[in-house]
Amino acid sequence: MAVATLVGYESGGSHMRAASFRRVMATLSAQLFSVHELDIVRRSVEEGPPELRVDEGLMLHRVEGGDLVIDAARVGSHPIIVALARIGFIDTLAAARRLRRFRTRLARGEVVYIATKGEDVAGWAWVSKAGAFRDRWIGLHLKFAPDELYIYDLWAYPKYRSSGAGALIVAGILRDLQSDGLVRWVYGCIDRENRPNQVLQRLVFGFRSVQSVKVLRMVVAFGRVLPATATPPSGPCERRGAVRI
Amino acid sequence: MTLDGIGDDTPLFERMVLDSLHLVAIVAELEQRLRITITPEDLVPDNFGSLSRMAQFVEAQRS
Repeated sequence: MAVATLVGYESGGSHMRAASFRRVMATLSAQLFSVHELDIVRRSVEEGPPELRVDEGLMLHRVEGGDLVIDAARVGSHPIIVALARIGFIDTLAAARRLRRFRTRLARGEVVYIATKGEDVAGWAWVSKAGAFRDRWIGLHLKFAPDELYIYDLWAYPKYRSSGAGALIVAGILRDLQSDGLVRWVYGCIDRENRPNQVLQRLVFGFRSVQSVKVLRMVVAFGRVLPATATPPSGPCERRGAVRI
Repeated sequence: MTLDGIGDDTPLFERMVLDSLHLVAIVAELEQRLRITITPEDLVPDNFGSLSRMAQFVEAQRS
């Protein structure tokens, strides 16, 4: 009986080890290679954003430089980087890399909207008015008319994701654009698997699809994104090419 | 989340009765329990803007 139990245990243990190995390999390969379907969405600026209620204390800042951008560069990133960031050296590298990226965007004339709560940065979104824009984050080359604008890198720190920080940021951008009166359409890009962002942009703010593009991410292996759609249907994404991220 | 003062036609987002994370949970629950598929294109205020619209959308999906 004891032997049978032992054999059964070892056999079960072997199955468990194999299952664990398969899970690890599946996770690893998903990190190395993954196909993402991206929805390019847009919304008219003529209609203002809905009135939303957000957590008390959240503030929105339209930023074109200064210390707040440095603060934003220091907060969380990819979960792996966040985990590694417990080591001070790596945290410094990640923050420095993000700050360099942010300064490049500001030098191109882009604007960032940053939500804060007290001393904390809760999240941000970038706005580009460039006619031709290469979104390094999603790996696509996009073209826009003079009266069109692109919101990208919408991000909220995990602990603020149910506070309304993302909604506050998008609503602030839409409100500014409406009062400026210079832009007719505002575009964004959402991963089809990113349900929270799909809900926020489509349901709360009324963005609608104009184009769908597949990309192949090879994040860990080569740090590149390759557009995988053979022929993207007409829309802002006209030219494809590998983008180093 | 309290249901006080929420009628069938109360706009759920404009009054921030639900935030996007609440709705993500509701969408997942509807898909799982009712075995329907909700695509990103279905995520429009016409389908989820109020309790009555949600009910109509679900009925249409199941029929």
